[in-house]
Amino acid sequence: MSCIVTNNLKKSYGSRVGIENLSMTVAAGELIGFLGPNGAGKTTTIRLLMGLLKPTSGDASVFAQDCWLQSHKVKADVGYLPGDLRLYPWFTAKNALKIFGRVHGKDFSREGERLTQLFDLDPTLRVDRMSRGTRQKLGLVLALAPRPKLLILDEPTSGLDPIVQYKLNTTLRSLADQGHTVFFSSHTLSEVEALCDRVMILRKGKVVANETIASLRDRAKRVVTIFWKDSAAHEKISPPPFLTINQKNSRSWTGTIEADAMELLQWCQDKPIADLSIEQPDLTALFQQYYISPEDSR
Amino acid sequence: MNLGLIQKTVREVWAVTLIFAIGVAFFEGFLTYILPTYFDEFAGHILEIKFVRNIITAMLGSDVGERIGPAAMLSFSWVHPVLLLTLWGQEITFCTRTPAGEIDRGTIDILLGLPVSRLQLYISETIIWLSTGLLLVLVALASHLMVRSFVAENMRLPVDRIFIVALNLYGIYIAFGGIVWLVSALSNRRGKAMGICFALVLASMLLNFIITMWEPAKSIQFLSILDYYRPWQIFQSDAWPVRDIVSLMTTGLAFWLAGAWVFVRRDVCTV
Repeated sequence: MSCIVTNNLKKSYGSRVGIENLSMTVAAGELIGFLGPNGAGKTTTIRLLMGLLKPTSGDASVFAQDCWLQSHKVKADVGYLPGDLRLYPWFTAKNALKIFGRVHGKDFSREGERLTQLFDLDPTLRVDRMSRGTRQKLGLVLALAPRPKLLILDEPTSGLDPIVQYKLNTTLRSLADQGHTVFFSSHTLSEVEALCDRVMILRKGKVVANETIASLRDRAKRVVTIFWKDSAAHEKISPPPFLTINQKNSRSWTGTIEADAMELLQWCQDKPIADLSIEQPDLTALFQQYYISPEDSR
Repeated sequence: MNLGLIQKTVREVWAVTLIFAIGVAFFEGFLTYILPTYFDEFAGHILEIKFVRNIITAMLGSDVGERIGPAAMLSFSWVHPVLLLTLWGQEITFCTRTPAGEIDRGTIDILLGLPVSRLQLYISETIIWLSTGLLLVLVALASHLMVRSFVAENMRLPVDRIFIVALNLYGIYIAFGGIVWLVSALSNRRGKAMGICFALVLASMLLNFIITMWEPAKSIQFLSILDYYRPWQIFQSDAWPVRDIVSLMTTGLAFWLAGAWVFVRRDVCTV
């Protein structure tokens, strides 16, 4: 079942285009990362999904309900954390959970209490006395407490320390395992790589990649270093087509492979090799290719 | 209407409303006592000064003539600029909170992230606005009636007419509030919205004053909100100011609806 569907979604701010012809489908239970440089249109997309902005053209739906026309129904099943989180100065975790519960017409104080403890948040501390990271934790508690079917989180880890980031990642993974959908935007490639099933990369308002992390890993290059038994051993050997050598010296070759590591191992079998190192796929380089537009790279 | 939203709004406005209510109670009580007590001193010479007479005529809505009577003097307690500015100040403070104030401070993202429609939010806020306005008018009324017992009997205003004046005052509150809702719905900056509304208040008062001195201005007299609030005439006659009250309520409703229409359709951008 599809959780989020957008068709040729477009949002313009006067002459400036926020996003253009964005079509995507997010299945229920998916954990999807939404990546892109600043101004790519991530927040615009999220605000369209939350019914805060009206599409210029196209449409967006969540759980088969139109995000603009039926936004209040959509939001009944959505937990939302805005990118630039601002909370009421008089909010505490305790009173905010009570008010949010009343607005939702549900009592989620127990889940709120559990999350407050998990994120080590003082339930009676007022927002105007909180640090930025603590406010972010409260925002996350408020988004997660109703246990919504869909979580839309705009840069949720900003301002969080590594321990809380780890706890959040574990919580999100566990929610996705239970069938909840998580849609989150980020600048941090490593967290998307560690957490997500799928990644969508946005550049200048357009989707430039929409793939599973596994398929990205398959395509990402791995750095390989081959150490030869002696300096003369490799002189007559030429590298296979799938191996690009970047650096050669008397005892070793360093290069990258795009193929399966097994192919390289097979090729190595009858060669005078002393040692071999194959590093993890380098997704960063791959992401950067998507980030930089052809015009920028010229 | 949403109980959670109402609870949030009450939590945010009760202290400010209390301060305004104390101000209204004090000022209305003070005027109710002071005007009849010093009636002779005021009435003797005050109208000889043309400028003051113009101001009083502008506030009361009719020329009081050469000699001011006790009723006209006491009815001034219901049109004094401080009382009106206190009421309007409260509603400018209140009605610019949402949406202008929420957008300005960025909290609208959290608020509209909740499962409520914009119309529900608008209506919930409106309920508290109408309630606080009613509270302030009732406080003014209660304060006037309490202090009235300390005033000489021949100086007292008739109680039934005081209630009608209070109702007319609430009409003024609703009419102006409707305008503030529309300005707020069109704005992203609360300070700007408040500035526009205060400018409208001053323009309305100024127009009333200009009318007393410049005949051609009478053609746009209907634009002044105080043209629909004339307590002295209410105290002088037995009739209900039906036209004024209906005009005020209709104006308030029309602007409020326009504000709702704008808010429901507009983009909400906080970044």
